[in-house]
Amino acid sequence: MEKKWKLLCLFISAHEKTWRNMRNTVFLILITVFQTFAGSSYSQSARLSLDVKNSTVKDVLNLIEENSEFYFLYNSELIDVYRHVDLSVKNERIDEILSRIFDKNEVRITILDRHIVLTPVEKQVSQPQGKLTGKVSDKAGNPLPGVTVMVKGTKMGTITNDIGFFELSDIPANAALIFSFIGMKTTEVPVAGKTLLELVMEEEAIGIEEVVAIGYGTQKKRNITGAVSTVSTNEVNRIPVAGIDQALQGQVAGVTVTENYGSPGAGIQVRIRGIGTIGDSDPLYVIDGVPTKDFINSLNTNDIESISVLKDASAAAIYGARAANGVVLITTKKGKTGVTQVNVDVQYGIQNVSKKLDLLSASDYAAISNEALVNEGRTAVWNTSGLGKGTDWQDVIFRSAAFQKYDISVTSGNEKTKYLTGIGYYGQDGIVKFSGFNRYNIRFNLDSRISEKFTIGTNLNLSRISEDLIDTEINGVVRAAIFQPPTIQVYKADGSYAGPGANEGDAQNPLGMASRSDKTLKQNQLFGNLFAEYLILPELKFKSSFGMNVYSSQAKDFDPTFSEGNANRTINSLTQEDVDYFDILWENTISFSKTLNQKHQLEALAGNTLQKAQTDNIYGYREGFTNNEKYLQYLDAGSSNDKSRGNLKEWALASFFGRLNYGFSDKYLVAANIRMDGSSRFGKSNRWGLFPSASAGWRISKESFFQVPFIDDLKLRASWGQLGNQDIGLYAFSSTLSQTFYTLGKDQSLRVAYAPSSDYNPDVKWETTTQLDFGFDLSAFKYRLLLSADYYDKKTTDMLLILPQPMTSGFGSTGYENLGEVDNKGFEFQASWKDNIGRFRYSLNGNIATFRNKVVSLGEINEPITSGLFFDMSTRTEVGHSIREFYGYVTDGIFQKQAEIDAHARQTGAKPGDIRFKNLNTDEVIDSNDRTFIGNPYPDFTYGLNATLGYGNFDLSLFFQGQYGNEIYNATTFWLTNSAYNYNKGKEILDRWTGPGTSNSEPRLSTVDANQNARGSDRYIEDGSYLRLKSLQLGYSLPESFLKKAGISKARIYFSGYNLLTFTNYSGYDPEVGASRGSLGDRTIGFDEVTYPRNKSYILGVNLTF
Amino acid sequence: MKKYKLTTALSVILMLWAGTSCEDFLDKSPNGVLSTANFYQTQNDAVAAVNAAYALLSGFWIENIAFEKDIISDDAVKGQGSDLSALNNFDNLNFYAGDGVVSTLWGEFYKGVYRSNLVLDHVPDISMDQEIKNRTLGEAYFLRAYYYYNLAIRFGGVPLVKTTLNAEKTPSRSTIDETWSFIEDDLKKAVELLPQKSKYSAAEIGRADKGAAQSLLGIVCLFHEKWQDAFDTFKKVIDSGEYSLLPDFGNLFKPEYDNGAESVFETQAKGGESADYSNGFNFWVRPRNGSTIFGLGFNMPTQDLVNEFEAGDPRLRYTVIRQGDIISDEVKDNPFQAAWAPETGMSCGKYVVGIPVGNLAERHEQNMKNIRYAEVLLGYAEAAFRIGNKAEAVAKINMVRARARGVAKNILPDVKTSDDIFAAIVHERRVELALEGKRYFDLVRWKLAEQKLGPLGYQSARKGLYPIPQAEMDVNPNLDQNQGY
Repeated sequence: MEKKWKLLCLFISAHEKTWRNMRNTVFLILITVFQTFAGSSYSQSARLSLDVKNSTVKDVLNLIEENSEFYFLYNSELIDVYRHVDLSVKNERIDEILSRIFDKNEVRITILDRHIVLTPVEKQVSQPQGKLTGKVSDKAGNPLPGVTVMVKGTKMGTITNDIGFFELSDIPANAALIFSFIGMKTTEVPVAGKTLLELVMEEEAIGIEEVVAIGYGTQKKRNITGAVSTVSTNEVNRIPVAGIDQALQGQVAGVTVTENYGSPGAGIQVRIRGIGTIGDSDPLYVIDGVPTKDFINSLNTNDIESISVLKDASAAAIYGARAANGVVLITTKKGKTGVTQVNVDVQYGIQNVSKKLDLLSASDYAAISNEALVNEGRTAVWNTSGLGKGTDWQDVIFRSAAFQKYDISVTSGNEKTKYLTGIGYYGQDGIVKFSGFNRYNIRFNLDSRISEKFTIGTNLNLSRISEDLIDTEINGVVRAAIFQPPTIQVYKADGSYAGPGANEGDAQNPLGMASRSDKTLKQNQLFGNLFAEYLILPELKFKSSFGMNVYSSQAKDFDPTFSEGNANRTINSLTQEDVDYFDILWENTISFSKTLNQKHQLEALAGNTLQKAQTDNIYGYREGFTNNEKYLQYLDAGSSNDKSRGNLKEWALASFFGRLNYGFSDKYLVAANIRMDGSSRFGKSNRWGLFPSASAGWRISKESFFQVPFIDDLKLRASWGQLGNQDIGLYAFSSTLSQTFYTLGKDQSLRVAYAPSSDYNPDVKWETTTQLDFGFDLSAFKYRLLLSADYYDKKTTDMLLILPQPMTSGFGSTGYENLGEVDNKGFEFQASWKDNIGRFRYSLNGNIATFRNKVVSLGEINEPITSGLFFDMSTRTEVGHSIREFYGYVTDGIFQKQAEIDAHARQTGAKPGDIRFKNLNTDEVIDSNDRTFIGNPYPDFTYGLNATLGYGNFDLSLFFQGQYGNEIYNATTFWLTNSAYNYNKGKEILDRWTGPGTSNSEPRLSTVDANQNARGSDRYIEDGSYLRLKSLQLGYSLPESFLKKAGISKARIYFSGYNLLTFTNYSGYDPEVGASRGSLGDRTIGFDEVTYPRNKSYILGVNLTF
Repeated sequence: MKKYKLTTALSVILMLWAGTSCEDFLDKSPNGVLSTANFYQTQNDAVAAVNAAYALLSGFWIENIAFEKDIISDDAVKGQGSDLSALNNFDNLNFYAGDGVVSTLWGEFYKGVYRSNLVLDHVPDISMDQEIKNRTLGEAYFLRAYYYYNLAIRFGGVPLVKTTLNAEKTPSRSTIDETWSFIEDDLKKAVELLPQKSKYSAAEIGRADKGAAQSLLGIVCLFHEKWQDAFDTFKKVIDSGEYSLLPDFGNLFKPEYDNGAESVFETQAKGGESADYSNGFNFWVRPRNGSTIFGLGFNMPTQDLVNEFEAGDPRLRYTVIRQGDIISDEVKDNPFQAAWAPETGMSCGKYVVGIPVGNLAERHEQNMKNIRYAEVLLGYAEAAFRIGNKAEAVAKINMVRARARGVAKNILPDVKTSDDIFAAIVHERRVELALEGKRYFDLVRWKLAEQKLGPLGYQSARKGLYPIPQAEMDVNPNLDQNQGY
């Protein structure tokens, strides 16, 4: 085999300090590493050059440790490391160098790749023990490499090699070995004269011993007094989605995740414990310590080690002004001590549309159109014979789309330096033609102990996303496919796209629309941090971290000219927008941790952060391109309407925070947090906010009176705290002028014009959420059962509201006012059970959460806030109700006869066959005052259930997720049942009223709809409850014996299904309805207006470890 | 060793950070955008501020679908089936307070008042060229009056917001008399401050001028039934010699006659620009037939309007497009078909007949004719008739008829003093100003609305007024609703 090699030279010259310290010692160290693809290890390939005079052995070893990847394990009491040596070597292997330092009759040198164990050669050992060899594996029988094996009470030890084996010599027969490995229970095994030892290490009980990421640190789960939920990597990686936020769905009680629509990479709504405010309800994400509210899509789910969701005030208050909507802490995978591991994960799959709507055939469409005309006294226009089924536009736009995901990662490390690096590709074609999402990631995480007290590290993510977009929102491709009459062909005879003719409406050819919508979005991001930790005292640690988020994007949208029957565009145009975002964070913390008298555990943290960000954006627009050819789709080629825009937006946040944890005998736990935030988003008068919290826990199971044998641990928790929300845009405190133009002069030139764009409030301040939480954590039946429950009451006061005001002021709404109050209350339960029966392993993990959202106040006059969704469909926020409940008319069947109309309150335009709307007030007329609350978009409860089963090498996991009791405003039905438009319709219109007694739900057909049957009413409200088999995965791990030959240590192949089954009564594409118009955020939640449907996918994957 | 260096480096950074104030770090103001704090200080600011008060005129609600005012009359129906259903209630004269269009119009006019008030509040304090200052203030008075006039004809007496400084948030309504008087006062100030049309340079043409202020004042006096004032004011416009009728009626709406001899006040448009700056009216009223005739086909004229025209009146050809008519040379191979307009079989001709659109269908360069000299003449005639000066009335009506007649003979005979002059005025205004948004408000002020519009759904209890928007009533407890709502 051809050897490829790389030369790594490290040349370190002495500097002043060293000079003095080493007493005229001059040294030179040069390490050369010959790396080969296979075979030789580091110890064989590394070459060192060293020149020291009169140094202690200890200094020499330290020198080698600091400048190479080697590290030494020895007991300085047994090995004389204080004697002085002179040494001058060039390009020698480590074993050669060590043999120059140590006499092999005195010191035994065991080289395990980078780890070198120095043990004394005992001259006269009582009951000398020969060689001890052993093997360490996990419960499933997989060998565990990198396990540290130490002889108890000494510094003697070794680590296991890549197949789990270790070897120790000269162990006293009465010694005991201590095995430790991350994620496994540290185990002590007496040697008891054995020469062969096999150990199966157990995973650390998930639960109380688990270490959980909390704000600015970690804490043992058993000591946590706030409401923190965690999600493990396995659960997240099973879902084939681009974003980590999406993968959270159903995993954590109290976290509601909704996709806005099904296009790859589409926006997501994550809500923690309800909707706290009418404004921004997005949680804060903290990725490896760097807070951000955006760009979550650029993180590779494969890089994630764990996720902590900080739900209550005590857990989240350390993030102060940005924590009111909860905090999601994301920790990425780190390097591990042990042999180098290479992980390869490959997924390939096919996605299809999960459901199609049942629409009219061409002949039905023509007949229905005719009837609507005739009903209004006009003449029929369609000859229905011979039309047949016509074009199925849904079939035309949907496709089987490919899904691909490739990840390779390498982890390695010794006790000093550990790293993980990896590369990932995520490619998802859209199920609607001409749409797709691609992402490339490079990850590099490193931490290195420079000296015993000093550690530095970095976590970096480099990503590139490129997307082919089609219009997904209102006026999008999917809606066009619903609209387009089946009487129209896809193509004209000449091969161009056909469009609607007379009586066929004016919708674009959906396929034409998708194909020519030349819309791309490219995003580059570098996200990460560099940190340094210094142990001032063993108990006192200082940490400083610089975080950076560098993001740039380019969006391009070319709208070509086209002419398809009644649908056409005569002017082509190109819009291009470049964004440059730069966010920098500097954070300093000092933490103290000490246990006094083995009873008083004290932890304290203080810190400050400074963060500032700027968004630079530039926008260009031109029209009048000579043609639509690709090579002309650049701004230079546009001939008219040259427009450009650009601005710079900035924000800054300065913060100070502190935390104190005190535990007495692991039994009584208290914690307090405080954070002070100063934000540039507020004027000088109200710039600083203070956010305190406190919590307490009582591990009642530790009390002597607590005698429940099957309960291992029971902790009661309570917390209180205040959190802030600052998301009101950047400059709400200042009055800005918007630029517009007015034409003047003989030459018709545009003259600039300035006027205030909106009302403003210079004294706007924080929105405050005060949260109370009671809960308990229980472990029982030998930690097989874990149960957590919480009750919370979350009250948002000084809510930032934009209120309607008299338009006589020049503006229909006020600036942000701190008025209003919203209350969210709920219960959360999370339970898991894990056990095995022989070779059969299983676990169940379920969660359920309720929440009730109630508006308590909306300012002085409590004027309800009505916001329009679509035509007259609207939501209303009113005291005593949830935020944005659906608001509209109530239907009461259909007028069968004129007499019924005469007997009813005056309803303009009503004829027999039209819908009867309920008269809800005392006047005898049906008007907008007869509207009321007709539906609530929020579920009574949401739930998730994970089940994993394993037998031998097989594993199976099922993940169900659902919600109950919410309503959906189905605007799709508005189109599907509306005969006033020449668009296609749904099958349900065939049940229309055609004479007394024929229908009491579907009104008569009409091209005019004088009765406004289509007005926003409970006709369109549907139950949105569903239960979904979100994912299913069946895996098989190949037997070890088989793999060894191929040099593979682990291999698993698996099949995944995603969105396989959905149980619901909802008639639209999907009961999971997010914000259908991303730009309006929560305003359109639960409102379904024909957007991109979700896919159902089947994926085959292979996971290999080398 | 190394750690000392790092410690030193960190301490240096810490000292630097301690030296910067937190408050400076947190002071962030918008970049690339002006704020009220640094505006209204120079002459350019003053001009840009008054330009903003004009800008609302070319918006969607006031310009593109200005036919809102025609479809409530007997001249036109909305057209195009259920499209733009927001205007159904206008077509059926079936207003209700919750109507979004009514509310939007109210808001747009008040936004215009607000922007005019900003000028009147701030510009007097700016040191600038006195002539331009006078002009700017005059424009603001004119525009405020124009927006209030638009409010008054629709809603009757309205809250009179006169300043932006500590303005009352929930003002109550003034009476219609107070409203008209306030508008008249503004216009009188505008007349004082504004230059004559001919004094404007080519670069500034299109701004409100003295004649526009006088003409609007005359029109307001007609509504206020101050006949002598109306007569006197219109007379000044006529005597100024600034205006004349275009010889050919057919040229009136052609872009090349924008700001022409007959133009008194127009909303200015720049062709090809986005809808906010160009004129979309043409597009909305042009016949709709898919890709060959680019239009949306709203504002369809009624047979009743057609019947009003005297035999042979050439104006009919430019007002109504009927079966077989050539819309313009540009599309001469596609004569109009009645089937394109299912509601009445006819299409709006004003702004359309003989006008090429090219690629600019939705973004035309035509100015909107808000007030033209023919209306001044007819207003003068009406005022003259009301004060008993029949001769003047007849003379001016005949001027309009003569222009319409052009070179043709044997059509549109002169009106004689012995004729029913009021009837002649009613007739002439209808045919001359058809589809220009005047008819409904004329009928209401002449108290002919019930007679003419009753069969179309006019409810006399409402006295021809739109409802005060419910949304506005909800947030302003001091407002009373109009009768009949």
